Amino acid sequence: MSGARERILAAVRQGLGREALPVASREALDARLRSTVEPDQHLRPRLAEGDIGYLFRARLQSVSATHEPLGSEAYVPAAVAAYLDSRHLEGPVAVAPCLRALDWRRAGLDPRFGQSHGEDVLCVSRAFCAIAETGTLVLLSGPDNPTTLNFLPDHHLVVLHAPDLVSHIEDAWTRIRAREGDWPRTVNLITGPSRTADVEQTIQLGAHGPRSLHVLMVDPGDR
Amino acid sequence: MTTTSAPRRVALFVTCLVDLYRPTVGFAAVKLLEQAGCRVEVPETQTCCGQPAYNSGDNATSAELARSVIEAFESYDYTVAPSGSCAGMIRYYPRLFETEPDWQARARALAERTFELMSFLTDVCGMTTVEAGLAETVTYHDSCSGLRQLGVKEQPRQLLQGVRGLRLKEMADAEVCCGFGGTFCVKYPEISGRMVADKADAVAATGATTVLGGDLGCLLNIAGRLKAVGSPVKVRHAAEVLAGMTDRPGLGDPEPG
Amino acid sequence: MTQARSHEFRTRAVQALRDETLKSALARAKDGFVLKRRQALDALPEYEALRDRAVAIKNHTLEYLDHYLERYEEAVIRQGGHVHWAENAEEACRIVVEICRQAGARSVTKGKSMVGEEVGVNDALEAAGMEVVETDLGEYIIQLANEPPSHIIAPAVHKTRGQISDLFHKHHARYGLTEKLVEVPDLVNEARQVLRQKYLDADVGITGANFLIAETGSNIIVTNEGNGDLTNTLPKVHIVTAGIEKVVPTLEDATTLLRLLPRSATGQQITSYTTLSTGPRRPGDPDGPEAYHVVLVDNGRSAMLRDEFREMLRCIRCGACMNHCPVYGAVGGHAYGWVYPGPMGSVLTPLTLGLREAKDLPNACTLNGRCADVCPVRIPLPDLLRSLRHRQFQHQLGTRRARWALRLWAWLAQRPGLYRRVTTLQVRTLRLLGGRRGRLRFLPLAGAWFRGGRVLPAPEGETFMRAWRRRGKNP
Ligand code: SF4
Repeated sequence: MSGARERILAAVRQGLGREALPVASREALDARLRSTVEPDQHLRPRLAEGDIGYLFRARLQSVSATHEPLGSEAYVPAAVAAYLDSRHLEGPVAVAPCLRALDWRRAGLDPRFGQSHGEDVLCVSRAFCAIAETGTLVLLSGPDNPTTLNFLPDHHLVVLHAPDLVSHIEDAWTRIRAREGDWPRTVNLITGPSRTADVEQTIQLGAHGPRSLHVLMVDPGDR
Repeated sequence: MTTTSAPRRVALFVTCLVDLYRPTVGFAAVKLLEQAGCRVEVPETQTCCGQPAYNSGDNATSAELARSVIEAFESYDYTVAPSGSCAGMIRYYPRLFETEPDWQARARALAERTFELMSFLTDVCGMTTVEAGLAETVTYHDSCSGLRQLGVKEQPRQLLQGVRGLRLKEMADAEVCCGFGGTFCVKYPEISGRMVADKADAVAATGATTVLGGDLGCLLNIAGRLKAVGSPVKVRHAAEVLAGMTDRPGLGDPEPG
Repeated sequence: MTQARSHEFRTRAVQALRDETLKSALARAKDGFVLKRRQALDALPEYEALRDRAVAIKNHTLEYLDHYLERYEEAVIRQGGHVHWAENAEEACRIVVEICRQAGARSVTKGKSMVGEEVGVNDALEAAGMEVVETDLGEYIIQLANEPPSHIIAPAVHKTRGQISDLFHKHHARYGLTEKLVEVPDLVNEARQVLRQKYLDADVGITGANFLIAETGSNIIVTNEGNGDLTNTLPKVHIVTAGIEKVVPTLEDATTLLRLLPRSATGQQITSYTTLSTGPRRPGDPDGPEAYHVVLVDNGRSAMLRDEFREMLRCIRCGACMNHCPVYGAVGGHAYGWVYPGPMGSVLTPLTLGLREAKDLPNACTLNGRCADVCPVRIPLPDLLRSLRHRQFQHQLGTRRARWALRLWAWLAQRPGLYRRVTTLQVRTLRLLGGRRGRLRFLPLAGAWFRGGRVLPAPEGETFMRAWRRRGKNP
C-alpha cells in the first residue's frame, strides 16, 4: 500500500516535470499553509449595509429557518416548551450537555442530556458561532454538543448568543482556530433545514435530517 | 459616414458559405464597409479559413490553409468577415504555429486585425446607424463564436435599431446554440436536428416575420428547419437588412412569381 | 471501475431523443438550474474576481500537488485517521472492501461520491457479500432502478415522479410499505423512513469529499439532505473516497471555492449542510465514527498533470457545464455511457478510459462554448475537446470517409483556380436541383443533413467571387 503511495507521488512529480521540492520551497509553502491571513480581503462578498443581526435573520428566513429572540439563556427551556406546545409535539427530547445547567424542570420538561439515537422528536444544541453572510449556524462536535443532535430529530433548535454572530465564513475559521484545543472532529455549517430537490426538482424539506430548524437568539441587549 | 481621413484598407474575407450560398451577404458587407468609410478589396486567392480541419483535430491541414490566408490578407489594414466563426478561426491562427515563431508572429499580426463585420462596423469604425428600412418584426439569433469568442452581442442590435420600421423582439434562449456546429450537423444529425427544432420553435414563438443572424452556417441550419416545417418566417443575414438589400427571398424561400 | 458504454453514444443518444418522458424531465431541470444559477450570480458582484482567485488557488495547489498531498496526509494521521493510496479503480475497491471486512461490516451506507461511482465501489462491496445502500435520495432512486447517475449533482434528474413512484412501490413492499404514493412529499417521506433504519444499522459509512484541507486534515462535504452527515456520524467506521485533485491548502482557500460551488450547481448561496470531518471520534465524544479512513484515488489524474489537461483537474464537479450544454440537454446523461456526462465528462471519460472507448464524446459537441463560459474555475472545455480530437486524429480514430472528405476539401482549398471552377459547378447544380422552390429535400451523399429534419436552402446560383469579378470591382 505504501508502494502505491510512492508510485502516485512519483507519478504526480513526473506529471509536473520535476523532482521532489527542495526544502526551501517546502518551507515557503508551509508558511502559506500556516498563515491565516487572507490574501484577498476584497473577495469577501460585500454585505448589505447595517446590522449583521438583521442580515442574518433575513438569510435564515430565506432558507426556511425560523428564529425568536430571547433576553437570556435562562429562557431557553420555556421557549422549547412553548415550541413543543404550539406544534403539538410529543415524544422524547434530547439536549446538548452544555445546556444541562438550565432549569428544564421549571418549564415542565424532562429532557435527556447527550447524543440522540433517532427516537427524539426535538433536539436542542448550542451554536459555536453563526455567519451573517450566509445565514449559517456553526456547531462543533464534542462531549458537550453531540453531532447526532443536529441530524436525527424532526425539529432542531439551536441556541445562539448574539456576540457569537460573525460576518463572513472566514471569521468562523478564525474563531475556531483561536479557541483552545485541537481542531474539532466535526464542524457542521448548518443553513436551514434538510432539503432535497431530487424528485422533479421540487424542493421538499426534511429529506433525511430535520424538517425544521429554529434558532433561539440570546441577546440580553435586545430587550 | 467617414470617421478618419485616410480610408481604411479592408480585405473582405467572404467565407466559403457566403461565396457559395449567399453572395448577397458579401455585397451587403461591402456596401456597409464602404458606408463606414473603408476601401474594400476582395483578395482573389481566398478559399477556406481552415476551420473544418481545425475542429476535426487536423491541425496540420488547418495550418496549411492558414498560411494561404495569412499570405493573402496580411498586407491589408484590416480583415473583415461576415461571420463570427470564420473571423474567430483567424483569431485562433497563432495557436497553429506554436513551433514556428515566424509564422506565429505573422498569424498574430493578422489575428489582431481581423474582425467580425458587425463589431468592426461599430467598435472600430464607430458606425452608429444605417440607411435602411424594413417594416417588420425581427428576432436575432446570437451565433456562438461571435458571441462567446468575439463578444458580439450588442453591436448588431444597436445597428438594427437604426433600421426604419424594424422592431426587434428577442427570442427565448437567443444565446443557445442552434445545433449547426460545422461538421457536427452531419456527424450527429439527430442531435443537431433536436437542437435546431428547439431553436425554430423559439423563433416561431416570438411572432417575428424574419429571423436574423450573423453567421450563414447557423442561418442555413435554422432556415433548413423552418422551411421543413412550412414556416413562413424569413431567414436572413443581418447584413442584408442593414444594407437595405432585402429584395431577394429569404434563405430557402421560393423565387416570387 | 464502473462498466463503460461510452462507445455506444450514438445509438444511445438516438434512443434518448425518442424518449418523450426524458425530454420533459430534462427540459424542467435545465430551466431550473440555469435560472437559479443566474439569479445567484447576479447577487454576487464579486463573482468574476472569485473565479480568478479560484483558478489561482487550484493552479497553485496542482503545481505543488505532491507537497500538499503529503501535508494533508500528515494532518489526517495527526488526528488519528488513516490514509490509503489507490493508483487505479481496482486498488481503490480492494482497499475499501478490505477496510469493511476488517470492520466486520455487513451493511454499508453511502453518501454521494462521484469517485465511488467512478471506481465502482458498490459492485465491489456487493461482490464481497455486503449490502450497500445509497443514501442521497437521487442516488437511492437510481440504485433501485439499477442505473448509473445521469447528472453529477442530480443523479436521478432523468426520472419523473411517476417512475419514482413505481420504483418505490416495487422495492418498498418488503418493508411492509405497500401503499402506492404519488405526491412528492409522500415519496420523500417514505424514502426517509426506509433509509433512517439503514443509517442506524450500518457498520460503515462511505462519503466522497468536495475538498480535502491540507491545513487541518479535514474533508469537506457539501449536501442538502443531511444524508452525508448521517453516513459519516452514525456507523463506527467512516471512509472518505476522494480524487487526489481534491486537496486545497487552507480553509480560506476552500472558502473561495465554497462560494462558487453551490451557486454554480443549484443557485444556492450555500447548501443546507457543509461539513468538515477530521479524524475519528475524540476521547469523551459520545458520537462519531471510531475509525476514519481516507482513500486517495489517482486513476488517471496524475497523468493529466502533464499537459493541457491539467486544467481539467481544477474541476469542482458543480455540473454547470452540463446544465448549460445543449447536447446534454437533448440526450441526457446516460447517452454518455459512463459516470461523468456532459462537457466535463466528454473530457474526463476519454482521458480515463482511453480515446478508443469514448470516440464519440469529444466530437459530439458544437464547440459553442457555453460550458466554458459558466465554468466557475474557467476550464476551457471546448479547447480540451478540440485537443482530444487532435489526439484522435493523430491516432487515426476518425472514419476513413471523414478523413478523406476533409483531405479532398483542403487540397482543393489550396488551389484557388480549381476551387473556383468546382464551386461554380457545385452551386449551379444545387441551384438547378432546388428549382424555384428555393430548397432541396434530398441530395445524394448529404443524407445526414436531411436526417436532422431539415431541408437544404438552395444557393443563389452564382458564387460571390464570380459575381464580384464580373462586376470588375477589384482595383
Ligand atoms: S468542468 Fe467546470 S462547470 Fe463543469 S463540473 Fe467541472 S467545475 Fe463545474
